[in-house]
Amino acid sequence: MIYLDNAATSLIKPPSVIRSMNENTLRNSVNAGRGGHIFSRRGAAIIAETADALAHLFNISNPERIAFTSNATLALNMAILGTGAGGGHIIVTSMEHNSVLRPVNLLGNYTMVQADSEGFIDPDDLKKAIKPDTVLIICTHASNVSGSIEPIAEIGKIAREHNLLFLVDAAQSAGVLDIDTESMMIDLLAFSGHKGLLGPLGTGGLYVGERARLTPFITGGTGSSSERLVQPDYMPDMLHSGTLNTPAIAALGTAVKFIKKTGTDRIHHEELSLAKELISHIEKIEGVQIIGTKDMKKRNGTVSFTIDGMDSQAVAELLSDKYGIAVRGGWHCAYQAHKTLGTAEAGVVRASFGIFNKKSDAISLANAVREITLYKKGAVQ
Amino acid sequence: MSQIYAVIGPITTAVRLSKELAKRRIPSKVVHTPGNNGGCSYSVMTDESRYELLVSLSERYRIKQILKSDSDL
Repeated sequence: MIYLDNAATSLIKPPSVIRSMNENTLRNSVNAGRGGHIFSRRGAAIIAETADALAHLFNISNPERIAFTSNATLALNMAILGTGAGGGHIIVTSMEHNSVLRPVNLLGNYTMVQADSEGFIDPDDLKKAIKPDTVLIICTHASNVSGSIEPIAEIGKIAREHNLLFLVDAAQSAGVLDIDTESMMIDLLAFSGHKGLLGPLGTGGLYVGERARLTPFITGGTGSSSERLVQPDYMPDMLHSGTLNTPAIAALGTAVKFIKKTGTDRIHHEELSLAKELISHIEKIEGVQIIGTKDMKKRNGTVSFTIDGMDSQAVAELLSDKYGIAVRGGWHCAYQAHKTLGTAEAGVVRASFGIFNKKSDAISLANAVREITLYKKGAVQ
Repeated sequence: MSQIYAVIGPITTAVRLSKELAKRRIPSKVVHTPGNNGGCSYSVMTDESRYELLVSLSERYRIKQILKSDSDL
């Protein structure tokens, strides 16, 4: 089976991450910060070590400002509901995933800024959407549909100039693209641990910068300030209600070390070269349309395409069942992005490359797509 | 020698302070804050001769107070 759905999760993990997960499940299935015994302390040390590694990767000066979550969706909900609970106006883009749009819609007071037909946001459009009661700008770093890389640093500058908080959805970029919270002026960074960061499922996190004041919407036991009926107001305990997944967070730390050793530049370059390889083959096939830009400097390793007259989910099923290639058809929990890209009617077939994919994977997919189009035309029986 | 407690709160911060002290070859231990000071918060216990050092690290490690084992508990 060829796995090309790394935008959903990275199926293949580095061996060191698997070992870490196994060893920590065996030895460190401990409840960090519950009790003063050695296991509690050991768990806390593991949590702190992974936070340190992430802080280094994202240029975060204070690792205590990182909270661990079970995925990026929870992190985004914490950030959005935590900052927008007061009713302030929020600006989002049409390229956002439902994990952004649904909590924002729940709050109600928001403006959705349209990206262009290739999925790119014009920072000036975001600027024009600012209102007197705007509190937050949210933008994905990289689209999970078109692979477009958004001008995060420019948007961060606008947010800072207008004294607004800036939340970046890094679900598709953490571990693949450079993220510098300082220079990009990111106040809130939501990331998944199990995609580009190559950690285990059930890992993610939220960085909360010093400028951000969140109201936690999940409260409970934190192992601290137990005499109080209100949630601790200090990070990370403010967002760490309930038992943390210590073995998975330990393995995430191992994964971050792998990323740093390999280098995000190299990872991005290799994934991009596979995307380029695939595009170079399928763009020549009659009836196949590539979605998004062909400017490789502006995209990541996600390639979406359509085949004329064919349902994207049917194509994905055919690729899986007949050719042994796992891609994702449909709307990718980002219908507004599809509307923007003009693919709302039938969705797209999305192939998303990871660091462990090979050139032959891209060629196999291209050959399968060519054969499918020939079948469709009746040229092959 | 008497011990002192740097009262912190989050265990992760206490672990970081303990690591900082270890780098300076100063023995310390992360403990539940003794007595009823701060409910279930965490503290770093070390030798009382490190009082001034802990004061200098107060801001960075969010030390709420420094307790002496024989008088403040």
